Amino acid sequence: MPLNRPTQDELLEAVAEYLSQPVVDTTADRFYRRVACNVVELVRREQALQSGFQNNERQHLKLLLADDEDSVIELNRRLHQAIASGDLPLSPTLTEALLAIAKLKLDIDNPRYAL
Amino acid sequence: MTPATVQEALQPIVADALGPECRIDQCRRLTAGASAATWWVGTTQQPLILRLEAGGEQFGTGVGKTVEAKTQQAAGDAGAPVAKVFCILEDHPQLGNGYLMQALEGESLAPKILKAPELEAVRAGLTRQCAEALAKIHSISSAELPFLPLQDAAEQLDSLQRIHHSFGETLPVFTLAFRWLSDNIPPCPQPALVHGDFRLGNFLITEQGLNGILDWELTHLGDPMEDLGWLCVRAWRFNRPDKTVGGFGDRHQLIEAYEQARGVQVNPEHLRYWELFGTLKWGVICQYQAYSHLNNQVRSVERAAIGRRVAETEYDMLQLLNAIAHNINAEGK
Repeated sequence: MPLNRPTQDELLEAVAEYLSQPVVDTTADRFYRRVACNVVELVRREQALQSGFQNNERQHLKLLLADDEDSVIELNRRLHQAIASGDLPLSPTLTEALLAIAKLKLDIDNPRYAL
Repeated sequence: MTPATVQEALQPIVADALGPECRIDQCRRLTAGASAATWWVGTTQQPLILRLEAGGEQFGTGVGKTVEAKTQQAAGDAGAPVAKVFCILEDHPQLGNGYLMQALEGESLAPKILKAPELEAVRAGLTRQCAEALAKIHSISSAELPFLPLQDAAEQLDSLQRIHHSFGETLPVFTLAFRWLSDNIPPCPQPALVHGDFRLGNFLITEQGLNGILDWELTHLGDPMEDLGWLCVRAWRFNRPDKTVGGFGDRHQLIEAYEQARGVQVNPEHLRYWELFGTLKWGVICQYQAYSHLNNQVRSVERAAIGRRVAETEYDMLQLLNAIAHNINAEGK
């Protein structure tokens, strides 16, 4: 499960766009500044963790699909097709592998979230 | 629209509804939502709320303000706590479509409701009150509200899938949830009135408890269990994920109280189906918000950030799907 849009560059663009505007409402500004700050922290985590995340995702998907493809994008596309067609039905092996990837993804997107 | 315009256009309507001696002394815009504008209207008799159609973008198909008002009235007639509707406006020359209702008291901000010490006793009884209110709403059959659209699981999955595909991201967890939910639609022999967004944020809470259910914008006919499942979705538990119902209760309490109030049996797996469904729907809404920023419809750092909450929904969907795959029953045994 790849990282989602907005990409880190698109996220930083949104922060810069907000910060370049004049402050109209100080209460709203306090809220948006906190959001902007969280977004910058997210991008910092992504830069530190993204290559480890992708390697891990690649390993899980190769095992799951018994496939030696190396492109994570292609592996995700094949997984999507296998699930959509019904070739790969719901099973503990499938959900456990995806859950392991989902937890690593949350280390980037929201490290306090996983139970 | 300026406060003066609203006040001038509204004065004869208020006099008609509440008596010729009733004068408006203040009009203040409360929220500027995309699909509705809400005005607080102070009068010499009682405070009122005016909801007007704003004609902006929104997720899903909102029913429109006049249908929203009629549905809210029907829910009130069935005994659910909602504001009394005084007047429905259709194509008003200045105000357009909308309705005028009683302003109910209460706190609507979820973090405050979940934290305030003076609301501790309220939180303890809130699951039961929600179950009782839902039982009243769901007692209204499709035949009583023929103007509402039927949105059952199949119809909604179809439209969610179309929206999700339009974004073009390949997300296998979404694929898995769509596939399983489409293959396992529970039977719903009696579609009924569904609120469609029944959760903290849309409740007014006083020290007496649930005082009002707001925001009937997404109301439709469908499987009543949809409202119970949505209330359990983790996003609506705010900072209390351990409290599986809305951040304040537990699923088994909700089921028990709903069964008592409505006189039906609830299958916990049926509730879990709709919790998974609601989680998927929230995931698509997160994408929708992000893409409204990315496609330059509404540039906003907040909407951009919501796009990365998709990871939370994938994790939540997998927790539920993993339990289903392991044959763990919905009561956790």
